[in-house]
Amino acid sequence: MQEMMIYNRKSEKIKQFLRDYGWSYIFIALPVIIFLSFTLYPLIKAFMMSFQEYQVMGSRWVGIENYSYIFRRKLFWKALYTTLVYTLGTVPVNILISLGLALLIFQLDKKSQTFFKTTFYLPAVASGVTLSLVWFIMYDPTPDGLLNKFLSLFGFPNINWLGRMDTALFSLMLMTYIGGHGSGIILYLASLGGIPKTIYEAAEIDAAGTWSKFRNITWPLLKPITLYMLITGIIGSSQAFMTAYLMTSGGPNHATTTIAYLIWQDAFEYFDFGVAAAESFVLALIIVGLSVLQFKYLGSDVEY
Amino acid sequence: MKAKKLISILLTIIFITSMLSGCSKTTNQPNGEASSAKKDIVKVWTFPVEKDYEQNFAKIKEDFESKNPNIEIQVEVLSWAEGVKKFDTAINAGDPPDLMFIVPSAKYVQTGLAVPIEDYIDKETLSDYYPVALEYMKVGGKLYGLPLYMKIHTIAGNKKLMEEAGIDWKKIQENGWTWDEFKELTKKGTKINAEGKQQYGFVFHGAGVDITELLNHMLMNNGLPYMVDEKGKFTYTDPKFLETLKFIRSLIDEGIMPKESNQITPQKRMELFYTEQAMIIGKAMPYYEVVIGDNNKKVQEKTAPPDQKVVDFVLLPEPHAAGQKAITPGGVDGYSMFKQKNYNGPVSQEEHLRNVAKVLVALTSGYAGISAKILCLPQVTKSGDQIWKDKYTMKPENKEEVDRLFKNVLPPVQVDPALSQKAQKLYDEVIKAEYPALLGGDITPEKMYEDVKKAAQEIFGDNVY
Repeated sequence: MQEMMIYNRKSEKIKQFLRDYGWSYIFIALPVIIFLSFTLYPLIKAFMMSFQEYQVMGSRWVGIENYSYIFRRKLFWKALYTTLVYTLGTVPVNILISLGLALLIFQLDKKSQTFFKTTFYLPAVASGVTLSLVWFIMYDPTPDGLLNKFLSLFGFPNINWLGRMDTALFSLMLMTYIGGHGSGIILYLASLGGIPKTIYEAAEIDAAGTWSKFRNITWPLLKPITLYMLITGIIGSSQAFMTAYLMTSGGPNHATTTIAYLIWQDAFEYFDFGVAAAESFVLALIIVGLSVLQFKYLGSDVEY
Repeated sequence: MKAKKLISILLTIIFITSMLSGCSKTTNQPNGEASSAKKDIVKVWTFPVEKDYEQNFAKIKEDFESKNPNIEIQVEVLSWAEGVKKFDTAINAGDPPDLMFIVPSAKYVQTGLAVPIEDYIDKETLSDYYPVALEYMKVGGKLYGLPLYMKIHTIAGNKKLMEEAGIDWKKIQENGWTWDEFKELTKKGTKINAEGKQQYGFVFHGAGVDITELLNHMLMNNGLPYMVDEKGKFTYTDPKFLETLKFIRSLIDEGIMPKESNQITPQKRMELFYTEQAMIIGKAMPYYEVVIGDNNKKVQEKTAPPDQKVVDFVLLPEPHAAGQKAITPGGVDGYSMFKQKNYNGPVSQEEHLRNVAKVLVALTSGYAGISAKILCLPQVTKSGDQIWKDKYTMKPENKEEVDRLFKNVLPPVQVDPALSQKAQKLYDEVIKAEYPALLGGDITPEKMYEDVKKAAQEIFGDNVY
């Protein structure tokens, strides 16, 4: 009898718990299932693949051979170097451009701010393929090309933008300088709006100039968002693929072969999925390492 | 409150169902055709092979399905730009189409999903195909598909511009030309034209698809027709490789080819040809007579861009190095047969493959020869020749030249697939990567040759020339 009562009480408790929280678990289950199926499972599978010579009809276990191959391979190091140059050449510059534009827009009235925010965000909603086509027209290497025609007005000679080893990577970087500041501007504008005006008023009373206010108030208070943009920017540019694929196919002479492009090439051109998986994990480790270092050294005095 | 809860439950169910249905395996049933539920479905991936190919395919499909009511052909027409990439992804996922419009290669054979067709097609049916055409559909001596037409890639000139430059194109068609003669004559067509624009003697694409095509053509015409020869030796370590690189580089240095050649896409090349800024272009095919003819109509109807002109086009042979035999780069295009890793059809896999083979034959013989006719290319089957032989409508000078050019096409060599794949990787990583830099002037022919030699020795050891 007593056992029956305990059982009934327990079952009542479970029912109550399900009534109170049941739906929450169902809703949580959905993203968990998606994560398990589309992120964790492929990740584990790819990790295993990095130790195999992948074949559709049956792979062969090769131990660390894929890893040892990529570390011996000159092209892997060259692609890493290219990715590093691309990252260094794009992330800090783009952060500065976004900040500069946000500071200029912030001075304007609400309507103008909305107009500029929309204008700068527009390229973000356009497809990357379409944008690349537009850039193709701009980078036309003949004297009839848009950029060449424009530069010739100032007496510059014709440039084979994507076809020379010394200009190809810069041309890809230039694409990021001119477009792609929409998100950065919006983030900076939101942060600028969150800085209390009273701090600036107090600084003005102390006769602080524009530069002093920026250096001592604006910049430190924008540091959390700058750190966020730095980390996401580095992650994004370490995985730069689309422009290398669409604009230059990694050339000429691998001058624009980024590590992500090399991974794609190994997987889908040479069908070396094991090697590609190993390269992906090395890239992931580098990104994790860089992010940890950034948090450690740049994020120490940042409050969220 | 209750209504809100109900709506959220409904939305959740819809979301989960749509997500799961996205993950489900596609059934082999066409939309809304319940009657075809038990039919064996043969999936074909193809390209817009010629301008009427979709209609011609539809006719073959209709005829075939009426004679074989238990088989249904499902076709997907891919774009030339992305189709092969889509196929590569599918085959590596273990789920390629049954038939793909692609010439078989070592890397596909090594997936284990390419099907040797001689197990499914009898000798009598195969005897309809000309043996030389079948050779191109073999890898390591095994036949993996059937050809649709023989093809050649060559160069072509603007008759008016060539005559203005005093070039006897007829003589070149008949006797061919050496590299020195080619240089001397194309130089005559390199000038600033009446409109003040640069006219180039020769324009060959170096960007877009097949960026190393000019190099391959010239290597063939300098005694190096195969990267790996019948003895399994890598041939591009031969000094003739360096000689060829130097020749191509000299065409740019002397202004005959644009210095931006590594960024000239096939579209840009045609644009230069139509605007009379290119006297001779490559690559060219017999089908350009139709393509250029269509553009000429647009020019006459004033629907083409204003600076384009009517172009009278003549096919020309590739120039060859002195003392070497003139070769026309050529081969076939056709369908290759594949199986799926996890086949799950209404009939056994063996029976399915037999059905696929029947479709393969229908798509490449008899009436299917219409594509070869439209493309102005030779038939690959006796049955195709019977129907289409007398229906070609090319200009006599081009028809004669096509016949002459085909006499100079070399048969393929059968190489071990593993060796062939190694050579291909070297080609992609070194030759294909460095060639645009050579065209752009970033590296010298000597440097490229040394890099190729070094890479070849690492991979092939002493098995090189």
